[in-house]
Amino acid sequence: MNPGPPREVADTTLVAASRDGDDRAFEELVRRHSDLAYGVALRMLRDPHDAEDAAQAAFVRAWRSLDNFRGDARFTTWLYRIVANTCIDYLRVHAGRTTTLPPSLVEPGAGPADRAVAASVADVVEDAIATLAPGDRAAFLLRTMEQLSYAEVATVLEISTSAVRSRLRRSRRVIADALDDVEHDQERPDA
Amino acid sequence: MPESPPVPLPCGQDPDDLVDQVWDGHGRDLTEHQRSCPHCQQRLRRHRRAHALVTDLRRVRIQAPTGFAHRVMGRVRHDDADEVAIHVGRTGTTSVSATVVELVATVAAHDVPGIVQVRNVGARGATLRMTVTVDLDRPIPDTIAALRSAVARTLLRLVGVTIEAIDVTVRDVVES
Repeated sequence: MNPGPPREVADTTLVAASRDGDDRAFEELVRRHSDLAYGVALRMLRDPHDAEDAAQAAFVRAWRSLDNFRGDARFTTWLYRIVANTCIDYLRVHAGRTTTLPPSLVEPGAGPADRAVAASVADVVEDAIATLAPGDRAAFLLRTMEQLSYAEVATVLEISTSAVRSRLRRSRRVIADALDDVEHDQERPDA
Repeated sequence: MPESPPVPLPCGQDPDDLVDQVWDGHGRDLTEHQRSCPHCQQRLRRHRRAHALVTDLRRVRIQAPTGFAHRVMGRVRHDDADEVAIHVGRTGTTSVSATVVELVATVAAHDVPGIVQVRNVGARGATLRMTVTVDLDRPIPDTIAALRSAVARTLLRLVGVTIEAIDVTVRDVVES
């Protein structure tokens, strides 16, 4: 019988080795979770350069704080926390800065006309997300894009689940309101 | 400031309950009341639309740029984990980690005209090392002078750290 590929080493094993100074074990963790860290950072910050800086800084923070990883949560939950906090710091320091998401993040439609409409509606959603306060934005993206549970979002952001719920409601209302505005504009004959 | 409670719909329903219902994936599981209530249906429809659009955005898979892990490990392997004391007094010492200094320096650098990309930042004590990509359409000495000034000013204002030296390496240039 073919034994198949070797079983992947668990994250917790790699964390333990990294803690002992094995930087190759940490490199494996970085490779495994690069897309996760960069993806959250890009959605939070909407700028590829800022996202790379923040995601890199998050991994450096993780390396420096490995002793704080207790192992009672998944490594990814801990990493989400570090990435989210790094991005929230970025946004707070940089309040008022506007950035645009790269075109690759806009889902294309079926044809040129559909694509233009899809892109403009997607822009409205992205712009609405960008107006959210950093903490609300983090909660919304972790729940909606990363599909974490309410309890996981609470753990990542170190807030209560009722605080998560209120941040999510606020964010969802903002997005629905922004789409209403577009609909009303489109209904106007001179729009 | 505490949020004011949402205004109930004309039918008496709490609109936040409808928000949760749709965004938690039950937007089509209507109660008996909702099946016959135009107010609830209108509200549910608008959140279903918003939810569907956001779900579409989620399908876009984001990948880290090529070489990302390599660059992270470059920083990790040359990491100068350090802390900078920003206040020493009889009541105690306040310190910030090098990470904080690096993060604020990176953000400040991005606002300097002519700085295209901040590729690496390392803080050790009161010295900062920065590797950047600059715009070739501006004189590089002017850009770097502006970078030093902006970074030092921002670190003093936001963190309380006085930086004594900023060593800058221009790794690449681009034409805007």
